[in-house]
Amino acid sequence: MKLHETSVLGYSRMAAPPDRQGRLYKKSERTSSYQRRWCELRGNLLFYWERQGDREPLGLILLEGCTVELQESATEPFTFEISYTQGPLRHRAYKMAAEDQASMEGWVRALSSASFKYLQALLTDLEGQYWASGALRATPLEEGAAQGSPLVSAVGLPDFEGLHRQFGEEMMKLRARWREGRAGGDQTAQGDLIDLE
Amino acid sequence: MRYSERELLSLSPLLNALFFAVLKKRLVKLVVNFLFYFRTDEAEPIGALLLEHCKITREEENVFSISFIEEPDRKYFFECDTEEQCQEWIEALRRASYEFMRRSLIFYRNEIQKMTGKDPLEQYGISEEARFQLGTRKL
Repeated sequence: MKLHETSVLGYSRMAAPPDRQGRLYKKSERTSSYQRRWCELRGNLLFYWERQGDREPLGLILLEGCTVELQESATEPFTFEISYTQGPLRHRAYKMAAEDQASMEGWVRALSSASFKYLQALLTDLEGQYWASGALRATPLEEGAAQGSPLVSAVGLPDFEGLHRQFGEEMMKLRARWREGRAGGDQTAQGDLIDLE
Repeated sequence: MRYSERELLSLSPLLNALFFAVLKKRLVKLVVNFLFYFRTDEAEPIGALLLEHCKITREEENVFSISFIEEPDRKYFFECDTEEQCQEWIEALRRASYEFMRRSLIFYRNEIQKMTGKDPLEQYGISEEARFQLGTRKL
């Protein structure tokens, strides 16, 4: 599958500051050693470079449908793990290490609430409060917006639990369909999925 | 640049439609801030576009385009079956960006604070987060 790089790189280079940035150590899947990386969280994407100031990022991690957990380890201090909890996706997790306790906690907090879906649920809640507060005066309209509610959220999801349940179901269906497609022989991917370092 | 295909593919589809893109019929699925496109008989997408820092423009009848701020001269055209479908897609795509939602959140937060005197983000313990502050981003 081709990821449109211009759109992704463009986002990583936006003038606005990232949501969080700093040095983290990322465990290599191949060598099991931790490699120093410069990381920037922007929206639901964690970009990483070899060094701060490098133009091309080495990679990105998508923060949707994942959990971020502190790791209790005597040998690997200040580590946390980004993992995908739903059954079919329980593949390799990303092990990261921060430089100290404060940095680790800050990153875990930021990454845990970085998903688009989290923001969407938050936005839905605030929209509800806004209208309930009796907002009757004109609100700023965006070009081409629907009348009456210029900032309507895309999908009105009920609650976090419902959201996770629905998400899990749909993902399993998608995964099953994908597996069938591969077994059927109509292969578009060349070999294995992209190997991360 | 490395990324995990599996992560992107795991996103569940929320909206989908059949359309013609650059004379090729494609199944297009909008999932969070990504637009995936598929050949109609395949389960795995051919590609994905990130819908951030982009402009959705209404073109001629039933047609809209997506272009990226970094590449303003390059437009990706999508032709829909009906005008209604076209309008729905334009609205959905404009709202499908993290940055759009962030701006909306900041707006609502500010308005609620003005109306009620209370910060609605306090109950979530995130009122100090830089990413939701008014003034750090252009509205």
